[in-house]
Order: sequence, then C-alpha cells, then structure tokens
Amino acid sequence: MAFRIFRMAAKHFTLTLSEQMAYKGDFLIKLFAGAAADFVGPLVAILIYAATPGIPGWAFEEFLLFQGTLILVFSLGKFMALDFPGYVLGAIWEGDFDKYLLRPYDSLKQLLARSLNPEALIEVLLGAVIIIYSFGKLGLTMLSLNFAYYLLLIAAAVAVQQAAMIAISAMAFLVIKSDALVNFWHKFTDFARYPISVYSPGLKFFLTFVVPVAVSASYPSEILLRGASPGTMAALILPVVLFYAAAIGIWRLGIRNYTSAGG
Amino acid sequence: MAAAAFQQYLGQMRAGARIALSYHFDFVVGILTTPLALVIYYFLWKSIYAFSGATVIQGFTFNELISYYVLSMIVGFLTWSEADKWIERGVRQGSLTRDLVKPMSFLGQWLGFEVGTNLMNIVFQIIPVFFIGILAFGLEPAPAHRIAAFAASIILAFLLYYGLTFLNGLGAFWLQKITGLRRVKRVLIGFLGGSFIPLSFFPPALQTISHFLPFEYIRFVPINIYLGRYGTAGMLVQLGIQAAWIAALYALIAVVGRAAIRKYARSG
Repeated sequence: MAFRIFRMAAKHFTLTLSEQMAYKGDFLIKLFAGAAADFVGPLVAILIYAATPGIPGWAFEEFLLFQGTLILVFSLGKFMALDFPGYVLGAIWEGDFDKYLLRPYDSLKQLLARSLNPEALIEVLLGAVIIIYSFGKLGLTMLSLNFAYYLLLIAAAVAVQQAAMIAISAMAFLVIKSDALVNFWHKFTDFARYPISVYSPGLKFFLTFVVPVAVSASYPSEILLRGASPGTMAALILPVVLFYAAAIGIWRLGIRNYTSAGG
Repeated sequence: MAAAAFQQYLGQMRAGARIALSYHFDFVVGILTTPLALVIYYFLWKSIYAFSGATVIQGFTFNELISYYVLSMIVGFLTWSEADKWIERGVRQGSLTRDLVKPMSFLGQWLGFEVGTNLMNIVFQIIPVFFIGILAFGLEPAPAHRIAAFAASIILAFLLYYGLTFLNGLGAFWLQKITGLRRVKRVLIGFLGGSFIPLSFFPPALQTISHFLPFEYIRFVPINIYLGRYGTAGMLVQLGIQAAWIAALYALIAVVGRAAIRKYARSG
C-alpha cells in the first residue's frame, strides 16, 4: 500500500512539474524569486550583526546555521504540504472531493501525494548550501549524536508544517473558507525565524509545547551546537507527536462532517 | 462629461470596497495576525538592545525602531495593490477584453478598484494597528504638519506601488503567468523598501544606490516623514522625488501598455 502511495506521489510530481514547465519563463522566475525571498533572512542577519553584537547567545556563524536550518525546514514543508490546502479546497469547491473518498486508498494520503511542490526543491538546496557553509565555519561534524538529534528535529519540524496544513485544510469541511487560516499560519510561523531565547517565558512555553514551531530552527541548531540529553529530546518530540495526532483527528472529524457536493 | 467619468471611477471604488468587505473573515484573521509580527520584532530588538547595551543603534532608539515597524505595517496596508494578479487573471481567462472595451482607461479602472479596497483597509486594519501601536508599542502621535506630510507621502507611495504593480501585471501579456514576477516584486519592495529592517542598517554604498531606485519611496520615506527625520525642507524634497518617480513610471506604463495591448489585439 505504502509503495503505491509513493508511486502515486512520483507520478503527480512529474505531472505538476510538466504543468509548471508549460510556463517556462514564469517557472524559472519563480525558482529565482523563491531563493531570493529565502535569502532575505540571512541578509537581514548580516545587517543586524554588522551593526550590533547580534542576538544574545548566537555568534554570527551560529545564526547563519540557524537561518540555513530554517530555510531547509520551511522549504521541505513547502515541498510536502504547502499546496495541500489548495488541492483540498479546490476539490471541495468543485465538488470533486468524492472521488478521493471512493478510491480504495486513504483520502489524506492521496491528497498529500497529490500536493508535492517541485519549485520548493531549489530552496531546499539553498538551505543545504548555507548549512554546509556554516558547518565548515563552525567546525561541526556529521558523525555525532548531536547531528542525529538535529536530523530528527528537522523531521519533526517538517511534520509540524504538514500537520498545520492538514488541520487548516480540514477546517474547510467545517467553515468552508479556510484559506485565511493558511495566511495566519504563515504569519504565526514567523516566530520561528528568530531563536526562542529572545521571547518571554510564556511565549517560549507556548512555542515549544503548545504549537511547537520552535522546533523549526531554534532547537535543532542549538542542540547541534551544544548537545542535549535524551530527556530533552523526548520533551521536544512529544508535543510534535501530539500536534500531528490532533491534526489527523481534525481531519477525520472534517471527513465525517463532509456532506458531499450536493450537501 | 467629467462628472460621468468620476461616477465610473467611483463605481470601481465601490466594487473594490465591496470585494474587500466580502472577505470579512480574512479581515478578522488579519486583525489577529497583525500584532504577531510586532510582538516578534519587539522581542527580537529588545534582546539585541539589551545585549549591546546601546540606547541608539543606527540612529534608532528602541522605541523609535518599534514605531518604525508599526508605521511600516500601516504604510503597507495603505499602499497594497494586487492589480498584477487581476491583470494576469484577465489575460489567462480571457476576461480582459471586457475590461478593455469599458469607457474608462485600463490603468484607471484598477486604480479605482484598489483605492476602494484600501479605503476598507483603513477601517479594518489601519485604525486597529494604529491604536495597538500607541497603546502597546509606544507609537507617539506626530504633530499635525507631519501627519499631513505623511498622508501626502502615503498617497504618492500608493501611486508608486500601484504603478509598479500595474507594470508588473503588463508582463502577463507576454508571459501569461506572472506568479514569479509578482514574488520578485514583493521581495524587492519588501527588502529595498525597508520593511524587514530600516535602510539605515544598509552599508553606505547600498544606501546611496537605494536613493536612485523607487523602492525606498514606497515605505522607508513615508515612515521617516512621520518620525520627523527630514525637517520641513527635507520632507518637501522627498515628496518631490516621489512625484518625479510617479511621473517617470506612468510614462513608462503608457509606452509598455500600448505595446501590451497591441500584442493582445494581434494574438486575439
């Protein structure tokens, strides 16, 4: 079953790429614009560190690692889930959603497979380049437990992005018009653009345990640089698991409320 | 004749306002979203100022910098335009012909529409942000003459932003899809306009180059007029530069617009 979903995802990926390549000029400009938009974060960091001692607890190269990690996580999230609400909302509005329910596959997996976004891959590459550059500057190694923790937290961070898109899309079954919530989520994730240490204790708690966006770049970078105990790792991963489970729960509730095109 | 033309543009404004009103759920979400960015900048810069021990960084005290971000949002809401999106849609869906045969200029139609949308923004977003800025982030009301110059500068900034957006939209006549161009426009105006960080933080050479580009006149200049950084003569100079940019841009639009419509008419 899992293999079929992967095959479906690969097929949809190829089709989406072909669709986008039908407008080659726009596709190439989009790739450039996406990378340029991502590069604004590191540019602002350069300007801040040129004019001030920077963010407490973060040397410039460390903050660059933070920015690279953020770009990687957000672009992976974009690759795997950003288009998901668009497909779900489109299917509901056009009365097309029934076909996903009638097929012998889980509707959520089908739609996730449908919504891979090829243009995000250039941004994944940009994030990886910045991370590799920071690794060299900071003398970090990939052969360490900290690096394994780092990868685990990146996976968790991408799961948070995907969970948010699933939950927001499911809201479309309940309130129909949920695209404004996608905007809200993007603005909310701006909290992840700076280290968690700059926020107040209440916000730190909220961003770590309630809506765990601090796992996007702050904790992975900090743990890669300074290490963590298994207990700390468990305390960071558990909220993500609960967040993902809540999103799936909202999706299932939404599907139960779905009244089809004639409803 | 003039009254009839005014009525037509007023109709476009009403349409823009109605469309904006129909997105009331987005407005509610927008009001909830807006303070989030301010909270982020507040904590970020609070920690940087505390860490550096300086009271002034690149000419900004902490309160002035936070006021800068509040004003940046207000200017952003007032100058917003998505004319490029509507033009792209018109080109791709074929509804552009209907717009072109209307007895009003193509440029003016969307201008009227966007003015209507932004007037709604005043009610739903700018007034709340202004009060949030004063009550929670220490934004100080400016004296009347600066408010007047700020208002004039915002009108010019809107015309400049609209002009750039419209010009960008004309790209759809050649490319059909301009999602990428629209994103480039947002990044350029955002970064070189000073939305993410004031241009005073840029290296001197880049600041000099920026004076010769239109972007800082869309956001950085109106904000600094409000903050009183130019003096009376300086304010007038900045308003003059904004007006000159508008004249140059709209002359360019006239040339590109004619070529775009010729292309559209040829390809049918």
